[in-house]
Amino acid sequence: MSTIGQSIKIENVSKFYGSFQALDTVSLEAAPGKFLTILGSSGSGKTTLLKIIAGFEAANSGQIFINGEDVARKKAYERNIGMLFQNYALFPHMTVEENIAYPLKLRKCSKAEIGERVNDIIKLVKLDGMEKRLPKQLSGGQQQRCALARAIVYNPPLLLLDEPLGALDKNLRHEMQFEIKRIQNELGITTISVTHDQEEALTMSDKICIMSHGVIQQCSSPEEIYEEPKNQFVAEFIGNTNLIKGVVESKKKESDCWVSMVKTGLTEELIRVEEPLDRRQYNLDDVLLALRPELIHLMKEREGHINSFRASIVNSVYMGDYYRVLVKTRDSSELSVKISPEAYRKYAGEKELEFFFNANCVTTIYEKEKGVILKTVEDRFIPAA
Amino acid sequence: MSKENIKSFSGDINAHGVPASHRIAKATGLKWVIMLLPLLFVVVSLIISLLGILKRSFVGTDGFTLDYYVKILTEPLYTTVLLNTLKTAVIVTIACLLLAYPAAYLSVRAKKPIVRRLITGGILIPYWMSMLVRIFAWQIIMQTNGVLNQLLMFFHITDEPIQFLYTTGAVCVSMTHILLPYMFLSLQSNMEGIDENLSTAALVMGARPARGFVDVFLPLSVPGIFADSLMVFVLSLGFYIAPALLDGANNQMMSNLIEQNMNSFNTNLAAAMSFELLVIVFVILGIAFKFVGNIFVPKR
Repeated sequence: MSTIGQSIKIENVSKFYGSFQALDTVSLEAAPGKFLTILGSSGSGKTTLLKIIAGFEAANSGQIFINGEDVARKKAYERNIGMLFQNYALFPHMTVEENIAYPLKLRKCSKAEIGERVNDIIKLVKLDGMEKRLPKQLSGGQQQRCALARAIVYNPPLLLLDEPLGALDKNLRHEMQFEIKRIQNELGITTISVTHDQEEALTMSDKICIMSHGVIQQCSSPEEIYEEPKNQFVAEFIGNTNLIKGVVESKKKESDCWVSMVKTGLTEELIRVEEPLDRRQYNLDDVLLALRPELIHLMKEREGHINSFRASIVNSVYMGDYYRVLVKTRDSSELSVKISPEAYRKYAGEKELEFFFNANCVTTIYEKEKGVILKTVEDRFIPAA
Repeated sequence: MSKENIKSFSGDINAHGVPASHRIAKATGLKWVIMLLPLLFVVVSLIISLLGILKRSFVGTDGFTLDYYVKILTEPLYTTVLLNTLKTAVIVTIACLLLAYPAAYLSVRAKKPIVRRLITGGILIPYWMSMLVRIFAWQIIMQTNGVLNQLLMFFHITDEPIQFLYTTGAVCVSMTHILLPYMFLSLQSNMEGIDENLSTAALVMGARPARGFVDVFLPLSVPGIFADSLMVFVLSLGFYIAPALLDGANNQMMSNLIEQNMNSFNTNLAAAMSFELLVIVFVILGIAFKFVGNIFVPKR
């Protein structure tokens, strides 16, 4: 199916409310037909950014390009953007059909064309048979389908979703996640979604921008966000993660990866960290190692393995397909680990267990100190031959 | 409300969301007492005296008679006053609506709280002044050589003073002034119930603000317009002081005529006229209930 979506590019947008800076030189970009999620907690500036894109508010500086055209001077009603509101904002005095036809009426489409397009879109969002109902006679999920239909019926090149699934219960949320994704894919509308729900962001997006305090912390694919968080905020914001303090003892560039040897409190030995060559490396000693609980394995056969450490079980919670176990290491720091039920039942009785993790499963995080400009390692580091 | 406050109510929130202490909430029969006391008051003071008036309107010196009703429905004096009353009430209601609607809209949609406060304050401050003071103020303004006439003559809009006082116009101006806050406040609370996102949604879909207002906000505010207009209409039907002080003998309103008949001991006629007015109000409310639903309980 052809793509109706157009590219959107936001460059150095800043927004002040009085002396409060809601957005600090925010830049992001989405290719035509892509699904981009702005993820952040409340007060992170994500809604402000959405309002600026939609044209409800003006930025103090910076530019917004839709399909290469600067839209800063365009009013909201001239931008031709589709938007799905958190509470749907369906017109309560109009039927489903009338609601969906409204934007087409504004565009002065002929009656026949309106009828045809409304019919098509009602089929697409599976609201057949509901045409004559009023919004209050629809269930929450149906209301959302109706709102979505109304937002896309006029083929907007850009669709904005404001906390799209926030008002739905859990089962419906999963269903609608896939529905929205399916329809967005089918039509190829460039979509920007704003949410605080990380699961929603991970499952729906081609690209996630994590925002906090008006600043974009990281903007990359869901996999990269989850597996290679750029900083401590991102690492802690998405999923569960263990952050281990360490000091880099040595760092060298091998043929296919960066290898850092890090001194930590886990064991006497150095921890070996392997990271891809395109990952930025900093010439700093203090580092945090981000390690996902599911990547720490229980060592069943007691054979030597790099990055192994001993720890005792403090606490455990049964989660169905795994146990979430809190373990205490040699330096009495606590780590979260996932253990399969079989392994847990077999080994839980033991006083101390041995764990290991692979060198390429760890991510180094260099914290930016205030006022210190980080220098990438490439600037000074001479690659190994 | 802070946590301490909630605790002091023993954490018992009843079905109506009103915090009440356990002991009071659980006292059996207390709610009946609470409901019956005001009901008793209404029955004794209102219904019984109304029944007395009703009886008086049907009973003459020779027992049951319809003479009083025939008289007020056929004699030109009485029918003219009735029509005048209805006309005045309609004019006042429309004037209140036209003045209050834009003000309420602006106050609800104002981006800055100060704008909302200024509008609301500007309309409500007169409301706190004595009604008599306001009516006398209009009397002074509209006198033959009052401020209004002097201004008009100063700007040569008129060469001779215009007769403002003792006209239906004077009564309408003063009644509108008095009833405006009622219309404004209830319109405002109705409009607050209209989700602002709806107008924003219309905007994104490509509707200019004026178009969005006509298509979305206006239709949604119609039930409020009906309910509030009805309230003002009913209030103005029975208005007494403003017409008494500002109206001439030729264009009286019902309440003034009733009062005159009371003073001249035509109590039976006064009773019949009172009931005529009451029936008109009930009929109007009945029609409203039939077509608009229970407009006095906002749907949220």
